[in-house]
Amino acid sequence: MTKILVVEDEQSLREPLVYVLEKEGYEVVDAADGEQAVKVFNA
Amino acid sequence: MNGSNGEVNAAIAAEVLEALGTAAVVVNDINLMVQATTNAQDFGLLQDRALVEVELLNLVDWARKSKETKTVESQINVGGRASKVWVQATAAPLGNGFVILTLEDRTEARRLDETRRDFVANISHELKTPIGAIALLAETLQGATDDPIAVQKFAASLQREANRLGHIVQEIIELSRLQSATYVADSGLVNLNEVISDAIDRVQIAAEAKQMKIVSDTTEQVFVSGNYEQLAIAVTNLIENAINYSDPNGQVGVALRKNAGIAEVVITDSGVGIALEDQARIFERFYRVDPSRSRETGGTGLGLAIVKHIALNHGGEISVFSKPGLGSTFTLTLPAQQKATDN
Repeated sequence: MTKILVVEDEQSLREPLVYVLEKEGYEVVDAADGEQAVKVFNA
Repeated sequence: MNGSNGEVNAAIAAEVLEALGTAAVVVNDINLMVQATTNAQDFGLLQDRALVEVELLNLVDWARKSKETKTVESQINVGGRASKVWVQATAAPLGNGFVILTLEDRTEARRLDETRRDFVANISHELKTPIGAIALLAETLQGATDDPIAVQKFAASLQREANRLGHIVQEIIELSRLQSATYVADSGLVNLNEVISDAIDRVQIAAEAKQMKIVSDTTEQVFVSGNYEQLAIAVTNLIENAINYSDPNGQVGVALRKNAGIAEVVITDSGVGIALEDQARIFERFYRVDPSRSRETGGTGLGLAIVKHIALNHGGEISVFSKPGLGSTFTLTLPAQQKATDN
């Protein structure tokens, strides 16, 4: 399955994006800033 | 005869311009200065009676040749100043080869234009974010009708973003109104003690949410001349900032003093503090020391710009003293009034 990393500092944009993508059947991980994104990406 | 007439005319013109405070240079047919106002000499355009800037020389030559007046705006080097200066230069032929060149320093006006452009760019960004969020949240809600928990969550976000948008718009309107007014509308005698207790009331909920204590020391009755609502907004913004930039369970101090005819409202916190390089910029519109913190607190980046304009419109000023990690002290100073003057 395609895995998508959503990086967005605005909570009000990040949450609906993650929700919609998950609903479409993607596996989604998210991060609120660059540092967190690198960590999640490497995990 | 004609030549001396021209010189007489030039001399009169220069005298008139001197009186008007214009920066003006009159040059003869071989571009040598015959008259220059004090302001023009301050510009440092001349070297041994000759104009040094090529662009200005070209302008003068053009005016002499075409017998027409021409205005250009250009950036020139000015004697004794490190950076180039924007000037609006006008050359007008006076006859017999004489040309008068007038100059106006446009540097400050250009800087203001630039600030205005930045402001528009910033506003667009600040407005677009919540608008984008609202559109996305509404769309997500439409597709989540079968999921009550998601509906709850996104409806709450939608409301928060709408509130944020409303708050930003309100502050932009407030700020532009303050900036366009050179005097304070609905001016009257204002009791600063009332302003402070009103401001403390307005931030009570925010203070309680963070378990912060607001301690006020307003024993002395101090009056100023001005607009009650504006002053209440200024003090409220300052106390709100003190709360937002402090850790929970902290304390904010609000003191009112009168010193040699000057009223001082001093707001002290023991919060995160402000680095020296940021202190000069925090009163600029949309400037934020820490954008993510500001988002958390719902700040628009306009609060202190509003305070500054309210202070200026009241003939006062706002200053800050702060050390990172040790908290900040904001002091709003205003000309104090005797209570008796208005009664």
